[in-house]
Amino acid sequence: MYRYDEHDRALVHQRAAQFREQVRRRLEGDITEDEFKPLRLQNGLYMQLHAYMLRIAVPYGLLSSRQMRQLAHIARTFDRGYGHLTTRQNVQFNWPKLEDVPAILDALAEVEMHAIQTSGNCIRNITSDPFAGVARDEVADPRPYCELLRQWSTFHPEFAFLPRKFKIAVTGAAHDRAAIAYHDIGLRLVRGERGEVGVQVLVGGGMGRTPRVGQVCRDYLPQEHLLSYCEAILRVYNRFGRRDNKFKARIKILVEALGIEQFAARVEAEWAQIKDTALRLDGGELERLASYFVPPDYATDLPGEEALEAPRLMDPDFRRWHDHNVVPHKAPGYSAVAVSVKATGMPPGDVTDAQMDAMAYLADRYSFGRLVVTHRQNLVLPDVPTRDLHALWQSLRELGFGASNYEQLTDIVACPGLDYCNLANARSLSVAKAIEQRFTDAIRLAEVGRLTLNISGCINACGHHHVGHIGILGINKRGEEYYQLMVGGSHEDDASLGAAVGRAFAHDDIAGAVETVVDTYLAQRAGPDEPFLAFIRRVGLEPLQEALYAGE
Amino acid sequence: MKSFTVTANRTADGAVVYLRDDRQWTADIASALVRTDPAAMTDLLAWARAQQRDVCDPYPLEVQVREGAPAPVGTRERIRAAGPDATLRSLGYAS
Ligand code: HEM
Ligand code: SF4
Repeated sequence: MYRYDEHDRALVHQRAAQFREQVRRRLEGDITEDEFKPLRLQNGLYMQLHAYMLRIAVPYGLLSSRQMRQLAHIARTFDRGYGHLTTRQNVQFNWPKLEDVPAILDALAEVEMHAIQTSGNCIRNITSDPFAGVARDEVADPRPYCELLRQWSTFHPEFAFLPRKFKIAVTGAAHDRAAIAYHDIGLRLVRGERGEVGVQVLVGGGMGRTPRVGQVCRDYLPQEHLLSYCEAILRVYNRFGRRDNKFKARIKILVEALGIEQFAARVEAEWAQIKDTALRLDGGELERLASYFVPPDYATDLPGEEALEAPRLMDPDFRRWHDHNVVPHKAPGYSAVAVSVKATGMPPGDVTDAQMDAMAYLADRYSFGRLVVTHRQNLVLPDVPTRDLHALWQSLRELGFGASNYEQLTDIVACPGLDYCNLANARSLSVAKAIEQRFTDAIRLAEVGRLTLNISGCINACGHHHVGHIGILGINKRGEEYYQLMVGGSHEDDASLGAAVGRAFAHDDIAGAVETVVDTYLAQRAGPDEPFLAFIRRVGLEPLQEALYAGE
Repeated sequence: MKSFTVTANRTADGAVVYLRDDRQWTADIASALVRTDPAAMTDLLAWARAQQRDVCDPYPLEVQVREGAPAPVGTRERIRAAGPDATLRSLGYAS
């Protein structure tokens, strides 16, 4: 993975030292909260309902075991013994004391981490495919491109005060696992006519209160122009994006106002001015970055799936996990493992210090010391020898991470909601728990099949409720929590936004409503081969409305 | 006349606090001051906002007075008043 050079190292240490001074001045009363707020937000420090929250950047979700151990250390020493994996592949701590934050930033800097680009109206942490570098359907490894974009965007002076936050995702695979259609810029690596790698550029996607699916801005961009073209998009946005109304400030609103042709034309005009400047990538920069992401030393003599014959036969729980949570790997004899940290009794995405340490150990033992945070709030061990899967699963089970529910109903994505968040209308985590408790039977879950469920505690959509096959949105009715139920969303190649089924449900009724939806699906699907999403697209909302609101 | 108190987050750790009659901040909403007079509230808010070293973003909060003690109104303020331990317990963390 990428290793800091002297410049990177100096930068994060300097930043931590600066913030130490700013915190001291705040605690001594030399600066007010109004003065301090922009400074703390530039360092990922938010104020939640009961405490500060520190959001730590995990570029494209990739962590070394050493970094994971440091996160465990921070959770144990400075927080309440756990951290939270977010849908932007980052990590959050929910209970830091202000005076401890500088020490936390120092501890992060020691392992080449920081909290820059995790807040504010700048280009945020770049996200990617959690199976980057190992997926079989990969055209090219997206991580060198992510790293290039990270270096270009960090402290980019022109883009420090954009109209609003800006999110970029990159996928290098045929099948999009990075939700590129829901980002301000979505990049897909593709092959050009002569087999060279180029980029398809989407623009204007996003969630929040006005969800939009991104549109193609340029179908094929030679890769040497990646930075100049992104810079052109950012310039057009920076210049024409609305600054008068926070709710209309995202690039998706500009793209919609101009129309994609007009928008793309302005980008092309801007790009023509800068495409052959220093931003052009022909100095071997991509190759240099790619050298940080060369595949590990894979053994070439490992057995394949045949090594699992006996455990699969004799241990049905393992077989189910292997069927659902293990993804084919491009190196023979290896597998990529999606570790579900859900349905442990803890809130979705929460991982304790002991679990972090143990995952670091398992990464060292089985996966070349690397882990990936996914945008569905799980962890991936990317490079596990297939013959070790049974042993690994047994260890995961001891940690509470043995569930075979990857991308099933209890693999719930949820924002922190009203248990933590200042902006929330309603709790998300208690709803996640109530739903989990109704679906504890792994066999029933397997029967339901692939079904994503996403919960947000307010319209900001941090839990991506618009793109869950089932989405739940917390709303406020006269000071009480209510929940809008949505179905039919997808964040993949067939991206679509969920539609509201009908009247909202009270807190204690929403889990039951989800069960009714699932039961209706099971009773009326064309057969076990018709997944939930296909079923919804075929039958529409009516059968669900009948089941949910009968007799009203 | 509606009853109000003043609430904020503590600078040191972000904890929810309420203002008492003796101008100290407390985590216990039941011991918070209560005002029904807008002029008195205006003065208190001005005072609270000057305490920016100790607290962040004070705001006036409507309360219900039950058996002489103020209590929160609405889910959000109930959760705020119940404190982090209640949150952690409800989420399954022993605390
Ligand atoms: C104190 C906690 C948080 C606050 C105050 C917060 C605030 C917000 C706000 C205001 C937006 C809407 C921005 C816009 O559309 O312009 C937003 C969007 C978003 N947030 Fe959060 N958030 C919080 C926690 C989280 C967490 C824990 C996650 C991940 C689990 C998250 C991930 C996201 C994502 C993915 C979006 C999508 C918006 C988009 O780009 O369309 N946030 N957040
Ligand atoms: S969706 Fe709303 S409630 Fe949930 S974390 Fe985002 S801002 Fe908070």
